[in-house]
Formats: sequence, structure tokens, C-alpha cells
Amino acid sequence: MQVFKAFLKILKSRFPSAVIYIVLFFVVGMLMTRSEATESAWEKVQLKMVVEDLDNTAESRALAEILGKGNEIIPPLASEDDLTDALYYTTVDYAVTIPAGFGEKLAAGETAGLLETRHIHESYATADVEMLIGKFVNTYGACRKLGYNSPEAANEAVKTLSDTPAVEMLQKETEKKNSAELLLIFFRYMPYILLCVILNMLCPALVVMSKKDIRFRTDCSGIRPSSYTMQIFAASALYIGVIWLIFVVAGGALNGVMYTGRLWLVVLNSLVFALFTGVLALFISEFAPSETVVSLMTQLCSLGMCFLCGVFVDQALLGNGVLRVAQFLPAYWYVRLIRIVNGDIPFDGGEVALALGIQAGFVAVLVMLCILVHRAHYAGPARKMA
Amino acid sequence: MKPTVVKIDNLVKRYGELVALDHFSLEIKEGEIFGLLGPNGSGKTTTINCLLSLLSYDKGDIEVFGKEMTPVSYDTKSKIGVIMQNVAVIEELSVRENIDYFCGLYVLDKAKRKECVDWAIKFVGLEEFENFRPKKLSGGLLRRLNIACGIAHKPKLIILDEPTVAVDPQSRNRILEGIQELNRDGATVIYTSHYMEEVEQICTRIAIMDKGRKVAEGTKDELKGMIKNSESVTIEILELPEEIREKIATLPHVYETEYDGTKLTVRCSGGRHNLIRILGVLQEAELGFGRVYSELPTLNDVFLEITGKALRDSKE
Repeated sequence: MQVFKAFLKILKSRFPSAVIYIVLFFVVGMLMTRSEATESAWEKVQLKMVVEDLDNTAESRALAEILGKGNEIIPPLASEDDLTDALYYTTVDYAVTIPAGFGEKLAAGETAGLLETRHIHESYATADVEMLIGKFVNTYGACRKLGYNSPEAANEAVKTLSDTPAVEMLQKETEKKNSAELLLIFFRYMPYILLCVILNMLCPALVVMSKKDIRFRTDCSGIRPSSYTMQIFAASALYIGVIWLIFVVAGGALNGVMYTGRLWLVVLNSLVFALFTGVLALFISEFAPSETVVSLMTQLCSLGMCFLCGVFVDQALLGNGVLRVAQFLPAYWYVRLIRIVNGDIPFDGGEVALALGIQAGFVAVLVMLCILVHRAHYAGPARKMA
Repeated sequence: MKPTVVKIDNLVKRYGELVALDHFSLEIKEGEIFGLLGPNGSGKTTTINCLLSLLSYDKGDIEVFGKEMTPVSYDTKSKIGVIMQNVAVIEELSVRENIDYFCGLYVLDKAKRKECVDWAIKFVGLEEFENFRPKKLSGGLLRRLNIACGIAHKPKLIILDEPTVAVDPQSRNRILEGIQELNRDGATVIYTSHYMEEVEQICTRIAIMDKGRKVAEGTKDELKGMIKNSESVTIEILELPEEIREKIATLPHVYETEYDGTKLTVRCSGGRHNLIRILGVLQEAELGFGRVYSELPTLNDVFLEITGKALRDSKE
């Protein structure tokens, strides 16, 4: 098991960079699933207001009452300087002084120069207060025109403006995600991280072991090639298995889901895809690329496949041309199976088997290609020709 | 008589039109340090690769430890240690882990392997660096690690293919001393190089290769005895009349003289008093001369005379 152990040590030396990918995936994944899960809500902003009523009439009291609804009323400050400081340091957002004669002017139908207002920081909330004052003046004027006397008009205006319609955030019921659906979103993104982590870690380790000089030294030794290959396979499989298991367990734990029923299909789906990724790493490493090339290949395979096949963008949103091309890639079938389990496509056992079978087919084809390329590189054991 | 460890008989290896090994034969006895000397491209590495069954060949037979060598001769392979020109170590493993890994390809028993690894680390003097990664080692230390990886399993046959290329003199001496020590401990050594001084220094028997053929084989003295030149006398002299040069050329055992205006080179074949006779002629003619050198033939002279070209300058 010497080769097995050495290979795991090589993988271990590269594991810290895998951890970065894994942690980033979990953080981004959690944020994304949480954002999908959270229902939108809103709350009206409360302003800290100083309302100084110097008029003390039915109109002025009515206006003060309207302004006090939904805002925090602060008692008048001792001096003008104190008010300026308070506005500057935002301990007060808005100051309204209702001067003496306000009620008379309002009853006389005046609309301009009725109040003294002060604020420093512009916001939607301050604009809202100004609109509210405007509405009060207009409503009061309308009531007067309807024949109400001054106190009655002021009361009517208060009543009318107090009837704030309830605001409800409209949300389609179908957009509220349950835990299983969130898990499926997690699994939908999994091909990207599997490709990144497995290709970036496994390829360089395999390249190290198949370096010409290392290979030469190994071939000179008493170890049988079959034993050597089996140990490399076993170590690779262990690594792929551990990575896959981390994601499957973490996916379930983070979303609070126990794997039951059709969710096992998704787990099996991810296992087949992880196998495909491992075999892809074997295939790439047969060409003994440099680390830069491995990184490039990883980005190309992971981003290219994920964008084309509907990992990042829902397949329903992708064009027919893109989907036709994507059908030649295993990630398409991976995502398709998730869509079947999610109910986006009617469940059909044949379709599920097809999606899994095609991915397994990709694995088989890549294994054959690996063997062919390997044989071409290492033209078999030496023997006397004649 | 000591048993034969390696027997190569009539080996032919072709790369298309190029004949890399042309009916090459060799026999190496137990306990020898056998030198394969030849310029780059002469077929040394091809011979080693065929010997290790890493390369197919067109004709001939190879026996190692009395058994035919085939790609599946795992028992035979386990008795061989190979140290190649290129450093073959795993960058991700420490010095100890590297030696342990390569030793583990031969020695499965953990306790025995630990002993072997400890011995190899001590043997190459890497005790202080055993937890270092290879990239932290200097070129010389890296070569030592390369050797340790090849010998840790205590092979009976050690093949070293130009192990001192690009190595500083201090490390080179240490490597050569190490090879001799391994030989004293009972290992048979095949040493390939195009550095004739190294081969001359450590090898008990030498085969000279050129263009895939063995052009000479024997001990150092036997090889030197194969050539005409047994002594070269060089004298710094600024004025040498032609009649004096002719007189020297007629001295016993002198077969060639060469004068370039500042230096007279006289090549002799055999004889014991060549230098005294040559200096006697110059003194008799009352000619002044500067420094005088008398050199015995080197393997380079052997190679030069046999192949018609200098060993180090040969490029193929």
C-alpha cells in the first residue's frame, strides 16, 4: 500500500486549497439558499420629529396628531442651537413649527407658508412627511369645501389620513422554498464545486505520479503495474468518495433534510457525477499538463459545463440551441435529473434511468479513452522483438 | 571464479534507421564496479534501459543474476537499484518520505524498511534534512537524495547512469566515495559516464562504447595497454631546429613528434627512459628549454586512439 499512502500524502499536501473552495461553496450556497428561502417584509421608517405647536387650535392639534402617527415625537428643544445640533447629529430628523395663526390661515384657504420646517438629511422619509403635510392641507381644504366647519374639517382630515391601507408584499406561493427544494438547489450547484475540487486536486497529484522520472523509477522496481494502478485508483476513489460524502452530508445537514424517497436519486446522481469528474481528472492527467494548464482546464470544464448545462442558469431559461449542445455533456443530464425530482419535468422512471445511464456512459467512455491514451504513452512492457 | 551478475549477448536496438545498439555484448561479474564509458548518444542509457526491460530490443539476450531479464522479472528487479541522471523525487514528500516511498516499492516489511531508510539517510548524509521538502535542498543534496532513493533497499546490483552530471566537486567526490563503499559492502555496480576521470577513479573494469558498439573492454591498464601511446613528453621550447626534432624522432620508442613553435610534444610507445633520452638530445645541442611534462595515457587518449575523436568533444 506504499503507492496508496504516498498518493494520499500528495493529495493531503494539496488539501488546503480544496478547503478554500469547499468553504466558499458552503458560504455562497448558504447565502443563496437562505435568500431564496426568506420571505420579503417591510417596515415603515420612523422619523424622530420635533413638533412645536404655537397655534394650539383644532387644525394645529390635528396636524400634530397626524405627524405623530408612525413617527417618534420628541419634545421641543431648549434653543435653536440645540435643535441645529440635534438635526446635525441626527438625534432629530425633522422639526416642524406650527406658528400662531396657522388655523386661521388654513381655514381661509391659504396653502403656502403655513409652517416652518427644518431638516438636514434628505431621505424618502422626509419627503414622505412633506407629502403628508400637503395631504393634510388638501384634505382639510376639501372638507371645508364640503361644508364642514373648522374643527370638523380637522377631525375629518385626521380620520381620512389615519386610514392607511395595509401593505402586503405579493409573493407567489410557488416561490416559497421548502427544505427539500433548497437541498435540490444545493445539489444543482454541486457539479461546479465537484469539478473544481476534484480536478484541481486530483489532476496535479496524478501528474506527479506519472512524471517521466518518477514513473521510470517505479517501473524499475519490483512492484507490479497492476498493483501500482490499483493503489492509485483506490486512493483516487477514496478522495473522490470523501469529497462527495462531505457535500452530501453537509447538504442534508445545512438544509435540515433527511434523505428519503426520490432524494436518494439525487444522491445517486451526484455520486455518478463525482465518478465522472474523477475519471475526467484521470484523463486530463494522462497528458501530464502543467499546473497552469490544469487550472485552465478546470476553469474551462467547470465554468463551461455549468453555464451551458443549466447549473448556474435554470435550464428552462436556456435557449434550445444551447440545450442541444449541452445534451452532449454529462452536467446537462445531472441537472435534468434534479429537475425531474423537483417536479419541473413530470417524473418518469425511464427519464431518470436515461439521465443516470448517460452520465454512466460518459464515465465508461472516459475510462476507455484513459486506457487507450495510457497504452499509447506507455507502449507496454519491453520485450525482445526477434 | 565469481558468478556473472549481468550478461548481455549480441544486443541490437534500432530506432527506425538509427542503430542505437549494434550487436553489443557484455559480461559483468559479482563485486565489480563496471564502467560504461562513451560520449553522449553512444548507447549507454539505451543499454541500461534494455537491461532493465524498460525498452524493447530487436535482437540479443539479457541475463541478470543468471535469469533471463523480462518485463515481469519482478524478483530480479527487486535486487536492482537504479539511479538516473535526472533527479526523480516527489516534491510533495519530505526527504524521509521520499526514501520511504521508493524503498517501499521493494521492501514491504515496515520495520525492515525503517532500518533501510535510516541507513540510507545516514549513508548519504542527509540526517539534518530528513524533514525537508526536496525544493528546499541544494543541487548536491538533491543528488544525494536521488541516490538514497535508489539504494535504500540495499540492492545487489546498482546501476548509476551519469549520477554526477551538474554536481559540484565536493558532492561529486562524496558520491564517488559512496559508490565505492557500496561496492565494498558487496554490491555490483554499473556506472555510466562520459567523465573519464570518474570512471578511471572508481571502476575496476571498463567498456568503451561508441555509436552503439563496444570498441574496447578491460581494466584501466589493459585499456591503456591497447594503445600505442604509453607516454607523452611535452617540453616548452622557443627554438627547435628541424634536425634536432628529427634526431628526437629517431630515438627508441618515439613514434610521433609535434612542434607548434613554443611546445614540443613527443609521443612514445613503451620504454622506460624516454624523458632522459629526449632531454639528453636537447642538452647536447645546447638548447634552452622551460617546463617539462611527462604524462601517462588517459582513457581519453585510449578513446581518442580507438575512435579517432576526443571523448568529451564528441557530440552526436
